[in-house]
Amino acid sequence: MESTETFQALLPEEAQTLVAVMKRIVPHNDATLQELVWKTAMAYDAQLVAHVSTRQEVRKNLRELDMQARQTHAKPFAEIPPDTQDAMLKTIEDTSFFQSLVNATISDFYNRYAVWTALGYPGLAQRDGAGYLHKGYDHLSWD
Amino acid sequence: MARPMLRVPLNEPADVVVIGTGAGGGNVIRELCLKGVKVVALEAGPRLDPDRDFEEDEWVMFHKLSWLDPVIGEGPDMTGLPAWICQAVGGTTTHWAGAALRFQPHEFQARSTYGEIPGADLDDWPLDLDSLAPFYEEAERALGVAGRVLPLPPGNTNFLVMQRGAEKTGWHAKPGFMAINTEEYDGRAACTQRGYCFQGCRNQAKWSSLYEAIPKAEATGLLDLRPNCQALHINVDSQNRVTSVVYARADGQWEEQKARAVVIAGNAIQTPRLLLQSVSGKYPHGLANGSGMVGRYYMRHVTASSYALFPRPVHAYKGMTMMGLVDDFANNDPEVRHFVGGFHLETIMLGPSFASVFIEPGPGTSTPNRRALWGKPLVELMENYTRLAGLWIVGEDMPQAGNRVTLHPYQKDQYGMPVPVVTYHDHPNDRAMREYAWSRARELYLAAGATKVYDTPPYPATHNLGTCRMGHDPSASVVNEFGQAHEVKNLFIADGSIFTTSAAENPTLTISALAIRQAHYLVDLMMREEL
Ligand SMILES: Cc1cc2nc3c(=O)[nH]c(=O)nc-3n(C[C@H](O)[C@H](O)[C@H](O)COP(=O)(O)OP(=O)(O)OC[C@H]3O[C@@H](n4cnc5c(N)ncnc54)[C@H](O)[C@@H]3O)c2cc1C
Ligand code: SF4
Repeated sequence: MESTETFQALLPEEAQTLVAVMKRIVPHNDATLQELVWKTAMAYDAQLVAHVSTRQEVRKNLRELDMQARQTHAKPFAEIPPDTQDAMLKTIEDTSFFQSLVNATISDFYNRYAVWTALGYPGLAQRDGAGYLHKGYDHLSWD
Repeated sequence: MARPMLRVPLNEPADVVVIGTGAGGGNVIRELCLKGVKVVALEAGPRLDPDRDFEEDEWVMFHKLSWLDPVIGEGPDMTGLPAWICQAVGGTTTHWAGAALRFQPHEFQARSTYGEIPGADLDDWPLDLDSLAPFYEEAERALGVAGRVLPLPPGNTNFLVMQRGAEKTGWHAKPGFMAINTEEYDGRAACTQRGYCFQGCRNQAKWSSLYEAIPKAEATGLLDLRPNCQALHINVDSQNRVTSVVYARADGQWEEQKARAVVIAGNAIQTPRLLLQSVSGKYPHGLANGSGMVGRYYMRHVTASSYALFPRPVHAYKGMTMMGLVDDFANNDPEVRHFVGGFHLETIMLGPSFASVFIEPGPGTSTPNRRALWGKPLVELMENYTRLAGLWIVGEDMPQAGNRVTLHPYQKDQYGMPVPVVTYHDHPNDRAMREYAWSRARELYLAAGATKVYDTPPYPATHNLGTCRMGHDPSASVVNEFGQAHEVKNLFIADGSIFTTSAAENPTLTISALAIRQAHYLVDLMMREEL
């Protein structure tokens, strides 16, 4: 299990909220994929270290989201049920904060080898240069 | 073995200074050096080694290759990142997919064929297909175009799906003309269907000037290539002749290279930027811009994509990223379609990360009104990644005077050069074409058995055209049919900015043919001592 303590730009509670939001952006049921969201959250946190103005903006938005969850549902955002989380995110989905977060999350998450493997994409195996020439590039299994 | 590298002293005029080493620059450089002309090539980006530096990673390669210095986009149809262009030796031919199509004859006569279209300033090109045909042939030999000088590419699974749909709808899917080695050619290896064409081809099977034109020119001993050098200003004398190019080295140091002639090939955003920035007493509105046309008529094709989910696996990422096409809509048929000009459907596939970002994109990568896919609908798409097929729509867009490249009044880049501002809005003809093309693509995929079809909006512009228009009339265009500036006889432009209209075809083969034709003309002028 990863820990929020390893984050550098975000405080532990903010990091909890971030991971919870990211899990709703890419809500795969697969447990391995769920765990990998931590890696993406940490990569995002690392980027915020150098970008002070974005960091302030992100922290403000994460704290607001958490506060609202506590006010309305008496629990931190990270602990309310997924459907309720989704409903809350729906209300902010067109904000630039959320749209940028989606972009950052998916471009990192779906570029991870472990995610590729889980999706059945053998991109990593392409380093050798042999290609799909003899590996079914011209064969549709449904023909 | 290559001869020792040429070093032209700064104060000794180079025969020709070429700015940019992509499709236009690369072809000019090769032809000039092979004919014995001494060339200094300035390239803003680094020189990468395909084997060492190309990686199977979309973002890593995007960051290694792209022009990431600021470019400001304006207008309702502008994408968050305005254009996808490279900054590297080889230019955007490192990223490109390799589709190498010739124009159709009528596309050189857009104004005569389509008539007066309100809001668009159509014009006929100052040359026709017959005069370009021999140079198309030369370009096809140089680039190694499959279907012309090599066997046609075999169909990958993405193509087989397209073909299945086309058979059911009565259209025709066929392997396209690709500048990709379907067998060993010109000392470069054959394609092994690795499917990383957009990331740079490590096999060097897909043509790039990085490993074709540049090394051939270097082998003559007549090329002085200067990577990491950005041209900032072009100087002229009182006789309207270009005399030198001021440029910045990577360390920020400025240099000035004397030149007998200058060829600019910086792509359709950077080329007008450099001209507009090169202000002098004679040219208060920018070099060669007496007509006020520099920067105007920016075009980027009518583009969009269609991705479809199938019940069974497709594995469309296998094999050439782009290789098959449907040409049934490439002709001009306004009676039936209610818009002028045509478009092609071309197979395309993105890796998982680009697929998640671009198939239903947000405002950061698409237009401001877009909402990125997230949550369950995104998971549905991505868990079915291997069942996706995809195609790209590319068609002719209308030249509009308001679509243009200008200089930002005060924002500057790291060398103090004004940042370019690119403005674009769709013409009603463009919108009608895109809607029509989306619905044909949907029809095709549904016929092939798709369960869901995504209408994907344009990516950041990959085909950037038209900002230094070619024409007969010096008051309405910037260059003549050879890409020679009307006002400055030893100044040439060799990239997509000289396109009079955009035509429906991917532009690079035409850029290459025009560049080769220009190089021949330039050498002729030099032989006759008219330069
Ligand atoms: C992902 C992708 C796929 C594509 N697929 C296809 C395809 O299948 N078929 C097709 O026909 N086209 C395709 N294209 C488009 C194709 O790459 C371009 O049309 C072509 O490369 C343009 O050639 P160019 O000479 O105008 O500019 P470029 O190839 O972009 O070269 C311009 C060069 O000039 C340099 N430069 C600019 N300004 C300066 C300066 N001031 N000083 C020094 N150097 C400078 C740049 O760094 C760059 O290297 C694709 C493009 C992309 C991004
Ligand atoms: S599919 Fe062929 S052309 Fe494309 S990158 Fe791979 S080897 Fe090169």
